[in-house]
Amino acid sequence: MSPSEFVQQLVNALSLGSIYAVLALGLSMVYGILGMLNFAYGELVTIAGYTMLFLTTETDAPFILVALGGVAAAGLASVLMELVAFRPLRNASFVSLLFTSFAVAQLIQGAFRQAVSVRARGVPVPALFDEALDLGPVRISVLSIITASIGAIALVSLTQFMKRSRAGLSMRAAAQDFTTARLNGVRANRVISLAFLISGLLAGIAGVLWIARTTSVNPATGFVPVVQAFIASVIGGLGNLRGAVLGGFFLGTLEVFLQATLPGSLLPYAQATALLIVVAVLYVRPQGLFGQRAVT
Amino acid sequence: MSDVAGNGTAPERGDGAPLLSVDSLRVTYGAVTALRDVSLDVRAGEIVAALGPNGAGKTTLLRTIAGVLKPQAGAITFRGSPLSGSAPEAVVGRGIALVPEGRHIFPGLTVEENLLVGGTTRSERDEVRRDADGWLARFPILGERRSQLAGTLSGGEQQQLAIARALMGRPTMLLLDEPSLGLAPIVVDRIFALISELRDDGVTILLVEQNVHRALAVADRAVVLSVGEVVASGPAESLAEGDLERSYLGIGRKG
Amino acid sequence: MTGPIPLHRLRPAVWGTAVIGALLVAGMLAVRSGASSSAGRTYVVFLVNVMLVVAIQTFIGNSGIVSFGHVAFMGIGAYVTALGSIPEALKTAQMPELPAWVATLELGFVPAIVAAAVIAAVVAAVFGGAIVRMAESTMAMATLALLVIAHTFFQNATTYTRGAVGLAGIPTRTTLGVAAAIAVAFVFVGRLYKESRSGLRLRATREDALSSASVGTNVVRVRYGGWILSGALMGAAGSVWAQNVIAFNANQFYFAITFALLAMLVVGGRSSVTGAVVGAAVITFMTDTLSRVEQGVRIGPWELPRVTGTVQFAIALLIIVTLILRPEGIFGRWEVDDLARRLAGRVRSRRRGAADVADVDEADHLPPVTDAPTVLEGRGVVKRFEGVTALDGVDIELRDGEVLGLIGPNGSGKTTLLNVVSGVQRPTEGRVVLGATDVTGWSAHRVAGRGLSRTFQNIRLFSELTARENVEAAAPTSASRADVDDVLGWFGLGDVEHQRARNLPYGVQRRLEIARAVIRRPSVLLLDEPAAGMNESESDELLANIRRIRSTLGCSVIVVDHDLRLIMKLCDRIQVLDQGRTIAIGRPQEIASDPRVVEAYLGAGSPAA
Repeated sequence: MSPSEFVQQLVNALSLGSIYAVLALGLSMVYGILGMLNFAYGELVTIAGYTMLFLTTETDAPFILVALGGVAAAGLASVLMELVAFRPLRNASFVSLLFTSFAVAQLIQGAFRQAVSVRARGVPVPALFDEALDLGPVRISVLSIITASIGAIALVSLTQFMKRSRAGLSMRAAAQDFTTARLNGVRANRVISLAFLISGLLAGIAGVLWIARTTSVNPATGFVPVVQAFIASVIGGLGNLRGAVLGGFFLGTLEVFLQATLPGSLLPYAQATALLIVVAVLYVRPQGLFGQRAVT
Repeated sequence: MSDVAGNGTAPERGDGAPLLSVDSLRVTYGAVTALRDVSLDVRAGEIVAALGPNGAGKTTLLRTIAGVLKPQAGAITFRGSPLSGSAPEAVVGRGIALVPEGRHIFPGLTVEENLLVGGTTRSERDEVRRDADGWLARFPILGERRSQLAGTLSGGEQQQLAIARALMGRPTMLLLDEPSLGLAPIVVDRIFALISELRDDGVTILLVEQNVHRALAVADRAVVLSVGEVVASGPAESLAEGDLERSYLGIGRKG
Repeated sequence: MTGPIPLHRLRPAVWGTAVIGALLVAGMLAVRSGASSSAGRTYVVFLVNVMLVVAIQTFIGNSGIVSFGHVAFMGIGAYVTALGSIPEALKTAQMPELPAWVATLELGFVPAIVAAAVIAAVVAAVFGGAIVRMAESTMAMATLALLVIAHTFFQNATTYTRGAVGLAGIPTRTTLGVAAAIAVAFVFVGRLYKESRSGLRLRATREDALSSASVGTNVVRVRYGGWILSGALMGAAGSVWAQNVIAFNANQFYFAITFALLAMLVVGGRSSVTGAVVGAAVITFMTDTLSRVEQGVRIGPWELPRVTGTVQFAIALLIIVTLILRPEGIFGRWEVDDLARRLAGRVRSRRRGAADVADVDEADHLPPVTDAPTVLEGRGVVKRFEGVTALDGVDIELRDGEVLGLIGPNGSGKTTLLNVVSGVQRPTEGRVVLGATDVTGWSAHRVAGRGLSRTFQNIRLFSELTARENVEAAAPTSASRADVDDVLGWFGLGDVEHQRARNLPYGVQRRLEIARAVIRRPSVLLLDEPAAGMNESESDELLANIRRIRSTLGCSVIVVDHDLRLIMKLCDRIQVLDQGRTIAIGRPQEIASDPRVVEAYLGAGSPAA
């Protein structure tokens, strides 16, 4: 790999990694507070995609509004999902909640199959996304730069929100010790709704970026993102927000460099190879790369 | 910090209707009955100590009042209106704060952030910050460590932080669960001095404590629990030494 | 209880299988005598689903760990079968690049199934080595990775799989009768494993991994065993499936089927083989009915339009409703024979071995054991947690045959000391020697294997297992059924042996926990607050029990308790801890009059001090 190729791949890795990081962060957010893995998280990406599809085909809104609409829809759907499906099972076991979210995912997929179509539908994106910038010998796609920047903005603003705001403080306290947080007046329902809202907004942001890359949406669009989010947060140590971000970048980098270095015949196996490497990593460190071993 | 009890002036100690009234409380965990028919009153401004050996149900009593556990039967009344069945966050909102056994500070938050979490129920952000500064000044050791993660504090420092955090909500009443647990004697002195000061500030306290002599020295009244029942109660100075030792050392319980 | 499956546990497995088998066969005969060939096809699909779900249930049901990856093994089974049994001409036409030895293979029905099971088991063994070591939530994710990886291979290794195009021409050998026979065999294997010693231990880890380790179970190993067996069964089921469908492609081994199979498990009751069968029935027939509806049907004068996606929708709703109304599924944790026994149990309740423990007399105090050899020793044990020193250089010495009391106020380090010597926690400094072996830093199950048993301060029973199963899950291989009966009898548990631990009264749970520790015939027994929450008569009974154990088994005992009356009566020596240090050690009468002890308990400034 030549140095300029390397730089290009590095930008690609940052771009894909930031999508995974945002995805993993949203998933970890809910896990940290409720100890729940939300399998229907991927469907939030799908919802963002269909909202974009609807807004571009039915209105003349500029792409920026279309994108914001997608993000908002995912945030709203996430809050509703918790209210309707998960709240009745608030004290259920990890396994019951996992199965419930699995069923919710299927329900939403089924709804899109019914209401729209089984087939993928193209989502128009600005032509700018296809262009590339020449910086000396290095050619970098505009979309990669946009993706990495939006990812960075999302991560930084969330960090600031969690650090500086009272709501963020309540969420951090609840993630550490839910009962004690309540004993200090942190309202359980509110903090859980907020966690789902943020989780949904993050899924929405990642979803918009994802759709901008794939330029189409189908009922099963959310599957790959949710798997990658799961894997990235497991690498980072489940529930560890910083770890989730690092895990996302790790996974993105791994995938991009496997794509770049694997021989052509093995290219379809890039994702599977990345997963195998992750499983091998977990064999050595079952608690994740950045997680801490639980202390009894 | 004379305005710790934020809800107006504290009523004359020991007068009138009880501030907190627990009536025939019954709490079970699965097959275990942790409290059976426990009744007690706490009047405004007094310190009541709940004593008894391990497993007597003292912690269960505090956790039930605080809304963490739901009673099977019985009633809890606070300032004349019912409290039982309220969620923990609602109980704090009513002015009762629990300092849990084992302190339960948030280890991954800084000392200052721990205090700010304690002010969650209050709306005036600047006042909450001022109160936090006040506590950091009152406990210089915490003041020095305000930006340090609370998990790195020593046991005694954590206990001070837990109490200060509970007081950040300006409660009328404080539930203290084993505040001296695992602390060196000199640190215990400091904690008990603080408890006396809080009483002088007008905070009503229900104290669960294994260090009987310390507890009786600071309390106005005491109840003794054994295997989930009240077996003795009365003014602190009149509780017979014999009663206590018998219940602590496991002699002469009800069969 | 010698052999992998104790005889008395074989009986319920046989009965349960017989009942389910009779129903499955009756259904088959009814379908066969009917005229509709589509009913026959649906019934075969149902029977194959029974196999698939039972295979998954073998792991998920017994271990309590969710796997999204089992369809990978089904796919492996299907491809092995297709590659091994499609007639040569058809095979080479579809896959010209196939190596000759594969192309010429024409396996029969049974050899194909066996090959599928073996290869699936090998893959399960390789992948499972990583999976079973993970934390439970992480494991669910790793199995999802397995599904994605397997799917990628099925899709892209086109030389062997033809990816999304698929393979065709597998001989259809799964007839109605054969499918029924195999489904019954799967149910039987599922039940046999559940009742086997390994299956019982795996179920115990589902309830409480820590106390499983404390009764000598290697948690990782029993999970690994269940995983491999389950993978092999899934491979075999995949083979039977392939020999029913004639043709399939890579996309069939992905989310849709994973979802359908997990739905069957969740709806029927994931911890029960009976539940797996019921779930398969409900979902299969619902799917069948709804897909007919989707084609558009006439109901009287109304013509329903064609719709799509109702099946997935209905299954999803069914899962959510089930989890809200019956979180454990329709059958919960019950097997069909449990229900029969429950009904029968109401008619005749057996009484035996009830409380013949109270007659042990006080003279059972063994002679003093001052010069007996040391059986357990802790030297300079230090244990620090974040910012807190729980043990600050404690020495402890337990002599052969003695009962040592460990007392001290809350937070003095008693439980931590028990945790360190039993391998639940690692000491920060110091050594622990059990018998002649240095066991410092050993895991709990290895320490237990060396003859140390313990109970926990907050009872940690296997709460969904029966009283008898709790004891059997802890029993060493050498223990016979009579040994289990004896131990149940000693503690007056004969009457309640078939009741689930969580339904027992508190005092009985305490006794059961001691019984579970004692069945291992330990040389050292650690009891953590056995009298907590007991009244005087209950604690007297406990006293008699502990003495009886000591004299019957000749073991040495450490008791932690706050009930000093019990401690004074029971113990040969007492060691007092305060703030993580030993402050006194001696005979009961010495300790009772030691002012330091009174002070530690009631606080400084006590008039007695």
